[in-house]
Amino acid sequence: MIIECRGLEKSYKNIKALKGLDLSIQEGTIYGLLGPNGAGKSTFINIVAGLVRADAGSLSVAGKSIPGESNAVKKKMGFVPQDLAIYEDLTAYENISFFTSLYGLSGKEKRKKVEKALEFVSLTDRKKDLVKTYSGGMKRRLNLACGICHEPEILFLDEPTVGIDPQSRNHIMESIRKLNKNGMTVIYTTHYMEEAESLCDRIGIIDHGKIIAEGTLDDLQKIISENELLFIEATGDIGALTGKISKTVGILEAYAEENGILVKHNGQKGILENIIKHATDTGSEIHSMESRRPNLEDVFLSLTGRTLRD
Amino acid sequence: MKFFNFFTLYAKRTVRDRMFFLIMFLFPMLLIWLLGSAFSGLMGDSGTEGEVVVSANLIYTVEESSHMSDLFTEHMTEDNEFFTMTRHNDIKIGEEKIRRNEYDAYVIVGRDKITVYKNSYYNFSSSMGELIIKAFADDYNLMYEIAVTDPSKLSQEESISGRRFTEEISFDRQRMPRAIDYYGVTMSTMFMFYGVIFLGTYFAGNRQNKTEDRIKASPASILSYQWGTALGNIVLIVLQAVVIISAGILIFNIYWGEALGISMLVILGEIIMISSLGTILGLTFKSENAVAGISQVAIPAIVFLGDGYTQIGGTGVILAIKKISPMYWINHGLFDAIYLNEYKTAFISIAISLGVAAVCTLVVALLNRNRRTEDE
Ligand SMILES: Nc1ncnc2c1ncn2[C@@H]1O[C@H](COP(=O)(O)OP(=O)(O)O)[C@@H](O)[C@H]1O
Ligand SMILES: [Mg+2]
Repeated sequence: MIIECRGLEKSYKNIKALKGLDLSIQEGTIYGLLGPNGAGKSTFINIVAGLVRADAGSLSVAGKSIPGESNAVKKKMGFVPQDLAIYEDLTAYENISFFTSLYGLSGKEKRKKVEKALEFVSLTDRKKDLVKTYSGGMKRRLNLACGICHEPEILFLDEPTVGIDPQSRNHIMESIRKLNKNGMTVIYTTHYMEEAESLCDRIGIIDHGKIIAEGTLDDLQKIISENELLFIEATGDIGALTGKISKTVGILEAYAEENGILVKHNGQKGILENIIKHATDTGSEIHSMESRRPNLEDVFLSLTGRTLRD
Repeated sequence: MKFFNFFTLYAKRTVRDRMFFLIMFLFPMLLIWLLGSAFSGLMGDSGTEGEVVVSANLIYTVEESSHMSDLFTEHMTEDNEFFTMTRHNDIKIGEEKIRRNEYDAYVIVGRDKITVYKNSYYNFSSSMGELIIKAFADDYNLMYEIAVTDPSKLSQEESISGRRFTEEISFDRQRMPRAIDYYGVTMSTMFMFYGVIFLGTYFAGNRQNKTEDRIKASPASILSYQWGTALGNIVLIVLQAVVIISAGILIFNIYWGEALGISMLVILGEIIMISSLGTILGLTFKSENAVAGISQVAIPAIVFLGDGYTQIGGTGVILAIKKISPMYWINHGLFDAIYLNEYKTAFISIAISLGVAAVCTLVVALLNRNRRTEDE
């Protein structure tokens, strides 16, 4: 395991950000850390990066304990922080070149790597422009390039796609796949389940500073796929309808969502009829009902009773 | 060396900032010219070489009529732009007035000796007064004596007398500071001080824009970051000093004295001090705005107390407060070196500057240690 983390704890004043985080990440994988805002994802990354010290627990990266032996592994790690960490008054080239030089690279070797990184994030044609003239997506891509140019063995990405256009997002996801193919271990935090589903080999679901489920996408889906999942698109008094449905025989759980209700049931007969009856009783209107394979959102919902989004 | 990467990054980013050129190069030249011409207009004929911003206010008593007193009254009692000379016949009253610092110096013209009493509180004007008398005595080959009194140890019985020194010092009467000479020095030292803002906002800005996090996560040490950046500032401000001082000499013919080496040491001391202050501000204040805000209040106060805008005089408590300002020592260290060829104040100013820098360095080292153990 290239990353081993046991019982990691961290409090900020009276907020417990991590409450005994356990993680084992295998070399060469893309590991997704999926959780809502405030779950403790950035806190974990910041501890690995040496920006924050854990209160308790142990953490090792490539066999070196952090923070004790972090100098021995800093060179092997790359970070793409959640907040843009770039100089707006420099060009893309200068940004990447500077951060790469901090990893001991210089001269021709550095220049070659900087050009490669620029190419990689498709900023070559804008490399000589000041970053303040860039779009949000370009800045995100540059933020990525600054973390990978020294070609780390282990790359930590903290929500690298927040607030950007779909094109840049796809670009970044594609780039990460490529890096991983070349052997880089990637730790990717996100609160978008689609990203975790499509990108990651293994996923740890984090909530309130703890891993609440872990495994491949299949493993995680199995948590609820023994039960049937039904999504009811409805309008009207959804709260009341959800309440009624959840008390119906054969229904295991029901959650109100934005434009409908997610229902977990045991496949018993007569469930649909009952649901329609409840809708009429509460004056709600059902537009559609579909049975679906559980996604990570559903998994999270069934584990915590909350959605991933805020 | 990663140290060098931080050094060049600071230089590159700062030089690219247009405000840097405006504040550090253009403003000082503009203000030297503006204040230099405004004050020379107020002082007398404009356009001539002789206008002075510092003039001495002297009183004198003639103890006994003699050839010397004739010479003195003939040559020294007419008011001019360098000094005013007021006559008082009672020595007791004269002593009292000088104790209370109402005048810059008290001249007693004896039979064959001129004695100058001056307040022991440092004051550029009283030094000017002393030099005027020395020059007069030199011109006419007369004996003179300087006495210093300390008014804080006022006792009625104790008459003025004290340290005497008779060493020769050269004094060129043509070389009195004109307004533009005065502001040529004080505006240069003031605008160098603004280097605090550039360095301080740089450190705070890196924390705000999170690039400091990248630096901390990298193998580069925090010390190479801090020292490399601070040294970048030292080099930039040295360049600024060289440029504005040379420009002042070339354009406005500003007089920087014979002992340019000593003056440059005073200025180097200032630059090292402001770089250490900028580092402290940048590391302790939360935002760029906070650093800029505190500096924009503190720098004018420090400059004002250091007689940077005008000679504010003052005795007792006010003088004691003025002496807290490092700018007081820097400016007066320079003026003493330039006009009086006296270097004591210059060396005090260098010691203060380096002392402040040493304290700042220690505080930064402690901050680094605390951050490492208990973050946030
Ligand atoms: N510097 C800090 N000071 C105080 N509280 C913090 C700080 N950083 C994070 N927190 C709190 O710790 C919790 C976890 O935050 P974070 O690790 O940023 O979550 P995530 O990255 O998953 O959104 C949140 O409740 C957050 O408010
Ligand atoms: Mg986060």
